[in-house]
Amino acid sequence: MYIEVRNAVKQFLCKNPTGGSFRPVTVLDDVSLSIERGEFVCLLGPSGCGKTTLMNAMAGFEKLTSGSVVIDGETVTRPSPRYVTIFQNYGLLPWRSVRKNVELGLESAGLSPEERDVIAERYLKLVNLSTFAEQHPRQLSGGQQQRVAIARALAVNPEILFMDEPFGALDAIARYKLQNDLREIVRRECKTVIFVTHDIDEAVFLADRIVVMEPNPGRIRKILPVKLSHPRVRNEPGFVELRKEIFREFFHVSDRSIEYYI
Amino acid sequence: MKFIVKTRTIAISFAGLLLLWWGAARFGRFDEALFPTPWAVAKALFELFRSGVMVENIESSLYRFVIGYLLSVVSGALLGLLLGWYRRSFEYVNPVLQLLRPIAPVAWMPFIVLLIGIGNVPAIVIIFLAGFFPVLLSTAGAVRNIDPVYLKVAGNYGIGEPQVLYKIVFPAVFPAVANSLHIALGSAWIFLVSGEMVGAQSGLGYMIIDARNNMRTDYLLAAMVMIGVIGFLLDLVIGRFEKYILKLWGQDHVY
Repeated sequence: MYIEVRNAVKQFLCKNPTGGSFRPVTVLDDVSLSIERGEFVCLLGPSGCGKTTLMNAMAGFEKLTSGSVVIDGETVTRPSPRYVTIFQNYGLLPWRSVRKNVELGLESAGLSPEERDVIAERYLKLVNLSTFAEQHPRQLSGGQQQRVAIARALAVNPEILFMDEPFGALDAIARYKLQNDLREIVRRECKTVIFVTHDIDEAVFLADRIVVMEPNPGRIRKILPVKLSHPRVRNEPGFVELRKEIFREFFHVSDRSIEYYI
Repeated sequence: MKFIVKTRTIAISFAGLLLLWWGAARFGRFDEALFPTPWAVAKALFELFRSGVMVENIESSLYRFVIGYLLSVVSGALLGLLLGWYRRSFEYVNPVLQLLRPIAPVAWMPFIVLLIGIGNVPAIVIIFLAGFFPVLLSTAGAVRNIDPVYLKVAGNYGIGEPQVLYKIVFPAVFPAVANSLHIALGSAWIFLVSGEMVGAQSGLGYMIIDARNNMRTDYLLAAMVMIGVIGFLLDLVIGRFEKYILKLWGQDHVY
């Protein structure tokens, strides 16, 4: 397997609201997951289910309490330009022009300025932002800023894209458009994508497999393959059916937790 | 239109001040030689400029100011960057900083004058002290509170030390630094004058003391007016700079 998460456990120490003592909170409870090269996997679940923590552990931003993440035979210990993360708030550097933002990852790669320009130009064209190269991020809309972040990520030619609710801050129309574009870009560039979201629709539209997670403690509830062909249509029967199935999973979870609290 | 309204507001504001001043001088029960009218001060200003005394003193004040301010800003920002970045070191240095910071720069004056003697150095040291602490502490604070996403991006794209400091951290905190430069400029200019009143034989602060010793309150007030005007102009310039930085960084709020 290309990405292998083995028995991942993540615990935080949380201060008790009543007293000064600390109690451990389990965010990830023995999570194992295998992902193949070129797969588009969505981690889907309500807040607190550990989906972002799981992604951060895979991307090397967070250390697990126990268990391990192995990518391409190597244990992940820290972030690397081979696996690039795209954040919800874009993570662009506001003092740099769009072009300079895209070139950020190329500066440590020992390329000449001309080579960097060529690469930046290529990826800005891919995300349809060539004409904005000399603008600053603040002059762009949210959707355009996220495109810059995608171009910046692709420019270092990573094997994996980690995406942490990347379209969560966008309006519905920009979100649909970027979902379409992302799918097309990933197909052309042959990347493996791990995509965190709480939007069922988004997961069904994008993913080859959906990892449905549940909170308290964070666990994988079910892994659902999505067998619909691309481009997907949001109201085709298979799409609607799968969306309903995931809905049921979520409501089942919340029923059970209500019983527990009563 | 906006410009006209603004100019008119400013003109009325100054006219009000001059009127109050003139009224106090004319109808107050002070000796005219001790409380000169605006007109007498204007004449004094003219005389001082024509004889070259004023320009000479402004030059030596600005010379000290530029050196002291630049020293404080550069060392404050650099040290703040390092102390903010290496958090452990900050914990060792911070207690001493907090102890030294409340000591007014003027309090150092007698000590420095006894140690070095009067001249340029004591005034420069005072300006340095006035600017150094605000720049250092706000730079260090901004570095400690840097948006973690910048550091994640740096780590992800393989930007290690020391590049991360000048490629990511310093630009990220620059708006906060620019704001502290603005604040430091104001207090440095204020303390320049007190520095020159005690430890120098030239400069605007010295002019005040010299005028007092000669009972020339018209010269004294003329020097005060120039201190105000130059301070105002310096503030205007750095305020423009700060606004420009904030705009370039895409932030319209001020720290």
